[in-house]
Amino acid sequence: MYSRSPFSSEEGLLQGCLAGDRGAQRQLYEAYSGQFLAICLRYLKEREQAEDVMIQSFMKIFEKLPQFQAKGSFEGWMKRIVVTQSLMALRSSRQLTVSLDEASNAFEGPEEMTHLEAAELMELVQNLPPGYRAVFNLYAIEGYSHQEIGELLGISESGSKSQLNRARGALKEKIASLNPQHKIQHG
Amino acid sequence: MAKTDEQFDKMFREGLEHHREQPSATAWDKLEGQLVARQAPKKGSAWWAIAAAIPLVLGAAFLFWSSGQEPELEVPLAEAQGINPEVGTNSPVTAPTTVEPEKVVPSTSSVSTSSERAQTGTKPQLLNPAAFIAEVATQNEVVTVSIPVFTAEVVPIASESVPTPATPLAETKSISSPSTNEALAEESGLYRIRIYSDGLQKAAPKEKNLVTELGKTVGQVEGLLGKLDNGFGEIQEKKERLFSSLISKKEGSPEKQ
Repeated sequence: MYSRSPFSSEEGLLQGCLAGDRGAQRQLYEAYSGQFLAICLRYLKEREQAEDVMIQSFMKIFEKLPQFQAKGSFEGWMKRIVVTQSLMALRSSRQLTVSLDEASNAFEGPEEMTHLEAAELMELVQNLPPGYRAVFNLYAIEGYSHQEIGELLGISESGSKSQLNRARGALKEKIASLNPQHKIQHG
Repeated sequence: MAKTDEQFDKMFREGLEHHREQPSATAWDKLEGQLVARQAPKKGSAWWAIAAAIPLVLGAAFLFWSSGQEPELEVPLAEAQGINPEVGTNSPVTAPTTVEPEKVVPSTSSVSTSSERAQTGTKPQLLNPAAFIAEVATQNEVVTVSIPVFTAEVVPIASESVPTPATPLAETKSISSPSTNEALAEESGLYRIRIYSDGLQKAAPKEKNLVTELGKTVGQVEGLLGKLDNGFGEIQEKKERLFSSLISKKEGSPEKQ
């Protein structure tokens, strides 16, 4: 019933998970948990909460697996579940009350930054106010359209656009203030 | 502006889309715990269903038994048994003696059932209803011969006594033909004793089936649950093996930092 890595193909792994094979479930977890936790952490600042949402996402993935149609990519399908779960967690913890007054001076971050690696980018995103963070993540990183974001967050399309711009502005400001030597190449 | 925004977004996207964060060591255990918990309710609900069904079925069985047994213990039967052996033995002999006809008829009819009962009283549940009817019929025929005066009246009774086993059903389960009901309506006063006895005989075998069927299904479910337990045991064993292998791995190689 349990074996270390018997599923060489994604299709085989999928079938194993569908059959409730714990080994297949474990293998899927090993393959994607790091990526999914990183997604959750972009939306949810607290690591503990992000990890819980990552676990919930896997539960949801296993639960909804029979509904997965092999039309699109399996990874993309799973990522959408993770993003949705993250947004739900944001909403339930009442962090997702986006107000236009959310000040860009809400940043708190490390003082020393030499270059913008993934960890720094992560920190920048995490330190955005929750509403900006959600819109920026969805648009800039996940690649959702403003229409989709509007539907996901229950805001208007123009609201999504304006929040994205504010998020960008806040990020740029923060980058500049944290590290005056570092010049945003394209800014 | 739009272009720079795009490039700005791209910087984040390229920097973060392949970013990974290492989950804590307990994350998988939590997930596995939830997976096990999600499977567990099925097992639990099966047990609960059985647990809930047992008292219900026992209660129903008790009601059936008690309602079936009460009539058997009732006075009419005892009286019939007390009277009938005498009448039954005497009737062939004393039949010619002129007894009041109206009283003889009920007595003969009661002879048929009661003597029947006296003979089969030792194991009434094993009796086939059809066999019972047949015996009743033959007995009644004997009686009709013994009282020639009332052949015209008695024969209908004898024939009616055949459908009577169905009448208890008609009362309890509302399955009957109108003719038997009419017959019952006409001679209802004469057949009270039979209603009790036949009702008991009809009810007993049905309940037996119910109990045996229940026993079968319980047996099946128990088999399934046994399999489930085995599977669960295997999972636990493998989980332990995994942990031990993970622990030994961690000890063997220095942790990544």
